[in-house]
Amino acid sequence: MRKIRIIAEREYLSRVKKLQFILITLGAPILFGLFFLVVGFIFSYSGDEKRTILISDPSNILEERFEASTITEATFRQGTTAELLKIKEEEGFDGVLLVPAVDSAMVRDINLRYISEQRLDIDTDLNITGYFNSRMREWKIKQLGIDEDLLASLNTRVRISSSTDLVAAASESEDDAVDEGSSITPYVAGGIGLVIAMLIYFMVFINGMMIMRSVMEEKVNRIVEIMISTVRPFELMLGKLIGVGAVGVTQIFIWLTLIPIILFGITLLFGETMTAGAQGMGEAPQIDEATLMGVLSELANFNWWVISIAFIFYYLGGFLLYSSLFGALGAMMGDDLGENNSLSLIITIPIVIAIYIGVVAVQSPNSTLAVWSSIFPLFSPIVMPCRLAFDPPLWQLLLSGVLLIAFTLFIVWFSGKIYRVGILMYGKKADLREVIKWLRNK
Amino acid sequence: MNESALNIQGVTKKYEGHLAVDDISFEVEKGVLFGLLGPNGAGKTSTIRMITGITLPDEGKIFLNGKRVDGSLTAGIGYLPEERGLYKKMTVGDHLMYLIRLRGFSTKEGKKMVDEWAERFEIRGWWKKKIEELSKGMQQKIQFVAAVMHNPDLLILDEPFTGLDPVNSNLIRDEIKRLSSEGKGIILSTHRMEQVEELCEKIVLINHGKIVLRGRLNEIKESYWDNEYLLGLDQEPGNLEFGGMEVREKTAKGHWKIKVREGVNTRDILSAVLKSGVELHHFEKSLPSLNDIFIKITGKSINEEQ
Repeated sequence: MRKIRIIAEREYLSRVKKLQFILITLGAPILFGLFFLVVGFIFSYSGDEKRTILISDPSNILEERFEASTITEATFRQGTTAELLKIKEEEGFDGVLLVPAVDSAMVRDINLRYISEQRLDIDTDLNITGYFNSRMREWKIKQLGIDEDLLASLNTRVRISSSTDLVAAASESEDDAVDEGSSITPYVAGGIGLVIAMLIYFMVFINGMMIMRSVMEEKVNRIVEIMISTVRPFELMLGKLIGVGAVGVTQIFIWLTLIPIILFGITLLFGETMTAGAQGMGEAPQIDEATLMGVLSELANFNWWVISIAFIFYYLGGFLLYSSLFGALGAMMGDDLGENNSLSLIITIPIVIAIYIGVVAVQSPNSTLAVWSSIFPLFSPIVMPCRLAFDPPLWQLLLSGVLLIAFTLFIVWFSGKIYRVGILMYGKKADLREVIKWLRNK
Repeated sequence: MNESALNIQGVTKKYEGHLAVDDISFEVEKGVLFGLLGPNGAGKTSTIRMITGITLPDEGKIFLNGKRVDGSLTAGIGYLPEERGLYKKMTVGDHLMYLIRLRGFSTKEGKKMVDEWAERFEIRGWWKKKIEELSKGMQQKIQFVAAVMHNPDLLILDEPFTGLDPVNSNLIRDEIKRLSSEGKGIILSTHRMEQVEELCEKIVLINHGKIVLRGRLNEIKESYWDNEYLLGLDQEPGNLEFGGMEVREKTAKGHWKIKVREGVNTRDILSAVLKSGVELHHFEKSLPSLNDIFIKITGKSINEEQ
């Protein structure tokens, strides 16, 4: 045990003392925010091409107005298709949109026609049809003489506020239940789940690779030859796992203490701008501050103790599980990194699948897929955190935890066997058959 | 006979149907430099790994200072592996302290031992340098220190001179001799015969996992002596007249190697030389080199790949 401690201590200190560690630990939340922003941007990105079109609208449904976002300029003309195409050529329009003549407000289908050298892209298609649909609706309302207020009253805004606190729910009056904040609870809970899952995902990945590289380095440098006459290979591996694992736990602690501070800072900041705004310009806020404050107050309502402990537990489980596999792989590898890349890919597949399941689990945390994935040890380190903020039943947490511990112990033992033989094997490529032989070795 | 530092009895190790070490027994005495010889792949490293407790013998027993140790890692052994390296990013001081603590010494005890060796090898000035900043030779010195600093009773040095420049080579050689004279058990494992001939008193020679030769070096050489002498003459030895002399070769130093018939003794040779009037400036009994003996036994040079 003493040897494992000394090894772990070295592994830990040699990493934590590096400037890189401080940068990554402090930079990660910022990078993370950026990552989400970029992903959000990519998904909300719509074409930046702008085009000018010529529109023929014989029934004047559009009333010479067209304001779809991918169209910069719309000009209305009458005429045959041939005439319009001629104007398009002469005046340099990008395309011609032909709206058919409509004689009755009861029409259910309309076929627009778009003529251009460029094929119609999905973005423009949706843009034009969507816009036209809403204008058509306005036109029909006018044609049919419907009262718009009457029509609006047909729509009902439906929201749901949920509570897992059955006792409190029983005693609350109907009015209490209408709580503005709790309708955003699932979103905030999902957000927390995803952030934690992503953090675990990245940490397992990065630290796992770190272990693999460090094992390979020791093997290639032949340090391991000097080490193994002093410590058992398994002690060396465990010490390494514990040391690097502790680095991750340190990071989590730093984040868990930093995040409340950051949130508190945001609250203060926005609290001030809100009062300033009230004194100054009055209304017209750029961000929906009420929502933001709602999210912040929601955050305070979660059971952070459980979440923090589970965060560390699942990180450690996932880390030990995957890193010991990575370590064994590192020991199998020869001197060149490329050799067993396909195997390292196989190890990463379950983690990648887990993160996809995690995204689904956030949307429906009690689906069969989410529940069983959060119990299955290869996925649970990432999927369970996604469900954490939704208060999963205790039996699921316990089962998932026990299975993770048992499976991790097995994998660490199994990897230890491969590691033990692998680190002393040089010049020989270790394929799977070779590894099976090692496992049989005493 | 000196006190036994290491005694291995009937040790055998199999790897996947291939017999790496086949029923090997030998004894290493304190203060007697011991050579473990053999070509690459003969089973030297496998034997050493069992002695150091890295692997377990399939059969046989290993005693260190009379205590059975097979399968346990013990601080009583210092091991300098053939393939060796250090953590590149660690400083010399941190590294040595790390290794000595792993061997079970407290920081305080360890510091004293490391300091002593740092003084002896004059590496004090390198204390805060990272390993990667050191020259290859310096790194090897540190590796040697790492192997011996905890004052083990038995020292196993596997090819300790590879890659060393002459200066450091001499330093390490002197250190090995000193440690041996202090009564340590030392095993020098190598396939470089000239080093063994220079340093070792006793040897075992392994080939294909078996001991093919063992004993005191000079006795072995005597027993393989082939009635050969080296003569330094001022002219061709063809003029010498006595029965059954054969000229073998002229050595690089200009000496003539001759072989005489069984029964011809030194006196006969010298009187023939005197009678012929040839000037004699060197006369030596020509003992075979270990490599010659190895070739004689196995039909192959020790440096050939198996």
